[in-house]
Amino acid sequence: MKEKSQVESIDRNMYDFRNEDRDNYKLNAGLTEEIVDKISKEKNDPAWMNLFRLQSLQIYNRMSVPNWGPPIDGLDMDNIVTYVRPNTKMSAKWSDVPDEIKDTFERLGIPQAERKSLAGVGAQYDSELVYHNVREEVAAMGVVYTDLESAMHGEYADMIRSHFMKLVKPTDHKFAALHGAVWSGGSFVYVPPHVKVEIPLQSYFRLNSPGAGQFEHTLIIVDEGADLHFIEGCSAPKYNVANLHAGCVELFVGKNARLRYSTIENWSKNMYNLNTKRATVEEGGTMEWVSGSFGSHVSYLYPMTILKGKNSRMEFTGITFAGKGQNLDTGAKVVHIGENTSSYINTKSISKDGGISTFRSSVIVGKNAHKSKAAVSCQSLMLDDISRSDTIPAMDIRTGDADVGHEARIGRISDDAVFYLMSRGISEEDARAMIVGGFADNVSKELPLEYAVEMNNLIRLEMKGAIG
Amino acid sequence: MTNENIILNPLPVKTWNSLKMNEVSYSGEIPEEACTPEIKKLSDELKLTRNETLSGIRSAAGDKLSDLMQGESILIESDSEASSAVLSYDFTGSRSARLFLHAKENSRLPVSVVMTGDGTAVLEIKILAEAGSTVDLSVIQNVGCESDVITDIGCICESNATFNLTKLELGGRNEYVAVSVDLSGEHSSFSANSGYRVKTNQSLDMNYVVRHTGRKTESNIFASGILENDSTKVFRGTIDLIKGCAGAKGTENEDILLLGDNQVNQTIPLILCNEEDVEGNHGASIGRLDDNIIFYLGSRGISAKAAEDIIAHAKLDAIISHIQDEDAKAFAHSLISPEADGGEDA
Repeated sequence: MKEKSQVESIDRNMYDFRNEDRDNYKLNAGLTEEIVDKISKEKNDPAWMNLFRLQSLQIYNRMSVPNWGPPIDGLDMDNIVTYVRPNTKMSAKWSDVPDEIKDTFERLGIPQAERKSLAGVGAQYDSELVYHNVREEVAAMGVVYTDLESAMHGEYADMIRSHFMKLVKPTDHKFAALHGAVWSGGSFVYVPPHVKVEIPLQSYFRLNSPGAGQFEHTLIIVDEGADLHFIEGCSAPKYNVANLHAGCVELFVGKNARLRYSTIENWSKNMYNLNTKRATVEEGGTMEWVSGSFGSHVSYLYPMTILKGKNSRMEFTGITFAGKGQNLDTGAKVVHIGENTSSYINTKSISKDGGISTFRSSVIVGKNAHKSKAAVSCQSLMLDDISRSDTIPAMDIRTGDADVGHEARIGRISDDAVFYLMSRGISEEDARAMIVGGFADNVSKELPLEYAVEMNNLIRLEMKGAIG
Repeated sequence: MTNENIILNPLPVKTWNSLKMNEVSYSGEIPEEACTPEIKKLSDELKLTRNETLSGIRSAAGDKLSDLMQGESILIESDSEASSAVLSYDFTGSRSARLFLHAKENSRLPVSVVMTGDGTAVLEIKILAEAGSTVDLSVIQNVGCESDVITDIGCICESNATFNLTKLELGGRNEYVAVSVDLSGEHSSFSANSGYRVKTNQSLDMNYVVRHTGRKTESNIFASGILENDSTKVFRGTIDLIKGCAGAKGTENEDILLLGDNQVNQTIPLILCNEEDVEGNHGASIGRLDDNIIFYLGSRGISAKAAEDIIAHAKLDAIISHIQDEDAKAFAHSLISPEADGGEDA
């Protein structure tokens, strides 16, 4: 019998610091027509948006919570504050951001990353963006990177109206309807035809207020032949009350365009992360998702890609790490509509300390998606016998000349591999962390260096004290 | 008889409702009239009685079906190395039947079942494989092409017991297959080889659920089939590695050949796991005949259509090779021969 070593508590100080919940404007908890109206007034919504919010609320009230997936009984919308405005206005100058908020993002390394390796940054604190900036040379190419609210009132108003929640409709599911009713913050990106943005844009979302929800909306349009890498990061301090994230990401990838959307999600472990992400890809376009899910108490997250145009393609690379108290239901969905489309879903998941990780996917190949190809590969690692790991992949193929492959594997860390590393002087804890790091290599190698380092740090953090 | 909708083949864990794969709704009848099998072969070591003692064994078809089942119950028991039993059920006129198989400690129970006739056919088979026993069950389904067919198989394997299932699905308009296996005894094992050819306007809905609770248990589900024009197939396969089944291994594979177009082909292979020291694998391969194979056979003067038939035949032939009884095997071969199929001869 193996002897249990001391299990150290995980030090999450890097993400788990909090600012006092004061000097901000908050609406009452709960979800009523009055609250939705107040948010609409706060945001100075055009009339169509105000109506859209109220219609979404009606849809929310009609729909039931999913009868599949992890339980969300601990989430009571009557206790969630849907709008918290920090005591500042959005600024394009870092020096104008209030010290306390500035300090938050500096501890998370956001301005440093902007200086080193980003074409533009948006930082959202609770319900509002507090900083948004794009490099001059990128703006000069015609790239628009701004907050959604400003875009809705300016030159791009019609574009926003014709795209907003057209891909993720409020009727899709209860939390898409919730998002439609109370969304706030988020970014709008437009990359003009044939413009290639060489370095990534990034949005970072920080939820500081206890018992609050964050409902940012990200809308990205990459026009014909253009190219963009967009990075999204999120974190929050841990509280004893439930927080909610029900954001929405809509991505439109034009003909022969390419979009890579990378996410390192590290919400605190009291968070219900009920996020919806969807992309549509035109002829010859490419959508690439890179997704690391480390935080949250409960997650429902399945980025979806609609391969509409012929010869369009998608690739999803993801890792999920479910530790103590976490029930992370993650995966991806793809719908092949155009001819000769291709998709590849490649995921890894790790369960530890009683964590539950579920890989859930769907591959739909429509009847006109002739000669399409789809491949799904999911591998799960169980690090102890108190955790759980499930895989639920669905395939629905409706054309005779599709080529679809699927493979999945669940297993444990090989004792031989640990023994080999230990025989070379590496401690058992480091050996296990090293093996898990290698297991996650498919995601880290797809990220820019700084983010790969952050992801590897997160894995090391989670693996600390993992010997059992 | 019932005309109310009943839920069949529920997934042990639900997924998106929009996929319509969580379960299937059946609105046909569950016939009250019993179907008595013709005993084609029964070796002397086997004992045949009328008994319902195994009716409580778990099903993957859903609770409602078990409640409605009323057909005549036959129990075949083995307490030694039996050679063979072959039973033929003719469901003409819509009938239901229940068959219970009981392999006592260290015995062997090989049974082949043939299903034919025109009319709704419902067959429930419940199996108890005691410690150290082996049950080899082959079910050849060739019911008329306008019939609804439900086959519900449930099995418990005690320690060191083995259950080998060979299933050939050829007939019926709408067919529902449920297979539930509890590997509760240490070192028990289950192996399934399922072959199907779903023809135009036919549908086949399968639900295989294997629960590993015993240590070092092993399961292997292999489904291989052909889908023709306008056919529908759903394959649900679940390997549930339950806490305490240390050393268990579960594998499921599906290999589907698409012939023609406009098929609905749904596959959902689940692995559920809350035990660390286990291995779970699944794989699926769905596609047309490889161009290289068509080219190779074409270079030898074989047309593309004939090449498809050869490969389709070979797939089913590989499944039939697992049938133990030679007479049953010969009957299965006769059902897939080009003459039976009315197909082009290579």
